Amino acid sequence: MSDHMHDQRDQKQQDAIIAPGHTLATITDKISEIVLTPPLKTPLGWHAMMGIGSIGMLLLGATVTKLVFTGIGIWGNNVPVGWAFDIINFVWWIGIGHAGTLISAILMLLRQTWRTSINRAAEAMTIFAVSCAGMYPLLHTGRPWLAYWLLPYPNTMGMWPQFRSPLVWDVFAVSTYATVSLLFWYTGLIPDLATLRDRAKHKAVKLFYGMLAMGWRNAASHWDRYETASLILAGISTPLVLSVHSVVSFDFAAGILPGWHTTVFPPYFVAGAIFAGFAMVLTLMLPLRAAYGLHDFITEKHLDVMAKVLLATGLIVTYGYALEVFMAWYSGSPYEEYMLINRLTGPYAWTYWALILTNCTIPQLFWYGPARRNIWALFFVSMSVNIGMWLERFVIIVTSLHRDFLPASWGHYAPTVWDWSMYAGTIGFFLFSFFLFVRVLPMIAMFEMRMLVPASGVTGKDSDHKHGGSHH
Amino acid sequence: MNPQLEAKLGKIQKVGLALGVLGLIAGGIGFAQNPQQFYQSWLFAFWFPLGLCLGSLGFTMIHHLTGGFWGLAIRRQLEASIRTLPLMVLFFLPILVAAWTHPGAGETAHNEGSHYHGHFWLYPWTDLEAVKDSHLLTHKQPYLNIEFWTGRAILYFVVFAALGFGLVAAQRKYEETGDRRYLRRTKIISGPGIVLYFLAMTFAAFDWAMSADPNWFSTMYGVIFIASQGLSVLAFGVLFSSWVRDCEPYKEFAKPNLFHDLGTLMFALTMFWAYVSFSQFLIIWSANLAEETPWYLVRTDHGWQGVALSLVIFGFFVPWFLLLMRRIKRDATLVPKVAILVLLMRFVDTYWQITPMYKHGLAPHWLDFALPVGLTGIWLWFYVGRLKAAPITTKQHDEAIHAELASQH
Repeated sequence: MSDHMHDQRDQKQQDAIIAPGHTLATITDKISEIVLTPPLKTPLGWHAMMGIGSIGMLLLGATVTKLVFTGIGIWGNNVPVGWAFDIINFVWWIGIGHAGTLISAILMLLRQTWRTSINRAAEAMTIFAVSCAGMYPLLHTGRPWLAYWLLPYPNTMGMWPQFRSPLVWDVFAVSTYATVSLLFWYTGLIPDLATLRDRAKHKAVKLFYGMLAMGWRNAASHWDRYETASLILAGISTPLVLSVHSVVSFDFAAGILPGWHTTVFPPYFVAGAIFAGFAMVLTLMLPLRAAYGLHDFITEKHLDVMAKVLLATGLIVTYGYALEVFMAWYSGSPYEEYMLINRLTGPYAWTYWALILTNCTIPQLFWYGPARRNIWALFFVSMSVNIGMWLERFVIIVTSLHRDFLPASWGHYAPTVWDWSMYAGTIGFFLFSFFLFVRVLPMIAMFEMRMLVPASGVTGKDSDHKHGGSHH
Repeated sequence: MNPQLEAKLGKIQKVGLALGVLGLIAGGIGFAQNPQQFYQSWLFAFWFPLGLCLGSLGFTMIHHLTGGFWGLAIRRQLEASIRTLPLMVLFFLPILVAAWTHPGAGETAHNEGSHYHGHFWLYPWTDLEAVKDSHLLTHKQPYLNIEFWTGRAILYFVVFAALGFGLVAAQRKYEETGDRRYLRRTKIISGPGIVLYFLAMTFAAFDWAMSADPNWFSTMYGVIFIASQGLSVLAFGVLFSSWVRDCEPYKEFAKPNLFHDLGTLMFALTMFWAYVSFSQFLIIWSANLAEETPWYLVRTDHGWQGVALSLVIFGFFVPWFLLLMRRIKRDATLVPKVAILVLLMRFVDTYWQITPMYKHGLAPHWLDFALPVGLTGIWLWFYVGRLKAAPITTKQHDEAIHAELASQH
């Protein structure tokens, strides 16, 4: 196809959310093939990623063993920096999960059809990221087998959690989030699991997907209930996008420590979470798109929209940073002012400036249209944001804690090898789970993609909102 | 223009003008009697039309960037609202005068409610004697001084005007010439424009409202004002669309779908406003710091607690619950009733934000009713005038309607 055909056609192709020429069959073939391919024919890249993930899993196992046998003293956090990698990584992972919920719930309610080809993978990412996040507070208790003490239940010790503590709210927020995300993801998978059951050749594979599909027969009544369930789950998930990271931000903002206690934290954390989440979606989807040749489903339009989301949320985060600087001075509080000076010029100043570079400066590249459709630019910026959002939590947590009100209690923090191995271990766990998912479950929602094809006859309730999509 | 619509708009304009003139005459009398009260009520009244005007600017830019039918249907209304900006400059003048002048010796007695003492109408930091006595105000002087404050106000208005009139002009050019370059221009303005709007609006909220209590500070403050503006615009959009829904050309598109979309957005923003307002409260309550809590202490005592509670119930729970129901959102006679409640609560919210800085107890003055009615009336009159000055629907809107009709046949 020539690039010099007339403008309108060009424009249409650029804006397509599925490449032209696809039929109901080609979509199902293409996506289910990735899963139903015999093990030996799996691409080499997949084995490589799985290998990295497995090494990380081993590292995680070793670290957790060491931690449980020795105690949390193997980590570098100690007074005055009582919280460090454990909470930095907890917040980082929780944030990454948010893109999945935003894409699957909010964009569904907003009838944004472009979400279809990325929502499944993003939701899977949410679940694995939340699992990684959950490990940190559980292991930070030092005795994870007693973690159920965090829950309020009548007990012989007469002990109750402190309900005014945001950490207790976290227990509820995160566990609700994990449960709802898992249900939403699984519900969405059912019709596709049935497709895999029907297409599988091997008996064991058939049985495996058959059990997971829970008797789905494509009956009209099934679809009817499915649609209702999806809408209800989307409705429940929507407030969770805001609430989870808001509660996480209360962990800091509800305290009095300068650098933590500022009122804009909740929306600024939520925007940061979406920022981090979309960056991770891009980081994972760009290589997958190349490896599995998914260019027809994850089109330039998708990349463009995701880049715009990154740009917008990055600007909100920058707004938060700017307000923190202004208010630190405007407040007139010497502690707030010192916090600012320490951030900008103290021993950890490099983290702050690196954060400004990675989170605020580099994403500005996306003002330039062609950069939003350039794979390398997208990958570069998404990696930059992955690093930047990690640095943001480091700046907030460590830089604020290491020099608080009393100079006599100031200290320095440095992570130990076990801090790093735990972090690398969770990354390994994440990669392992994600690539396992890519191999055994359809990473793009087949039945939803089929609805985008004109032949499906689905005009959608939103035909009055966009160009209609289905005229010939 | 269709005569039925013209008659209806004329009627709205007349009512607006009548209320406006009455309100302003009352304001004049009030000014002669009690200038301090006049300025305080004016500051409160000023925020409502300002919210409609600037919130419309924000929405127009967001819509240029994201698209969607709801925005095309109310595009002209939003543009007319943006074009009331010159009126906002006029409305700002009394606040400017209040900042530059000082009460005489006998007039300060009216200021007994404020916990700041000194010779000022609205902003304690405008009294240089008081600034000298206060460590905090001296510290903030490089920002809170009358020259810089005025300079910033001019800058905000220049930014708003450049964005607003730039957008309106590009849209008009597109309709005149059909050249898609002008459509692109609206996007080029809107991208950076939305950033500028957020920044300017945040600092305008700091300057014009938060600095009336200059010891207090909150990074969330600007976001709350922006959420409130968005809510006013949507509620007004619902109300206005329902007023004119049986006249051509509104008849063609002011249908259940439009009200549903606007109602859903109103629902979302009601939640967002409650979320940011409650977050600010929770964070301050939880930390319990002496430099922050006074702001809430004065607002939850001496009668103000009732106002605060009404915000929780009628500002959040009631509209939230009503807007959950699809039947209400789609009904062009029911959803405007919710919109009226939402608009009313915007007044209550602003009153609760601004007035306790000057009065310890809840004791509304008659100017607190007369001036909001007056300013909003004048605004409505001017707004309808701007609306009449351009065709009711935009080219893109007509195209969208045609495309829809074509796809149905």
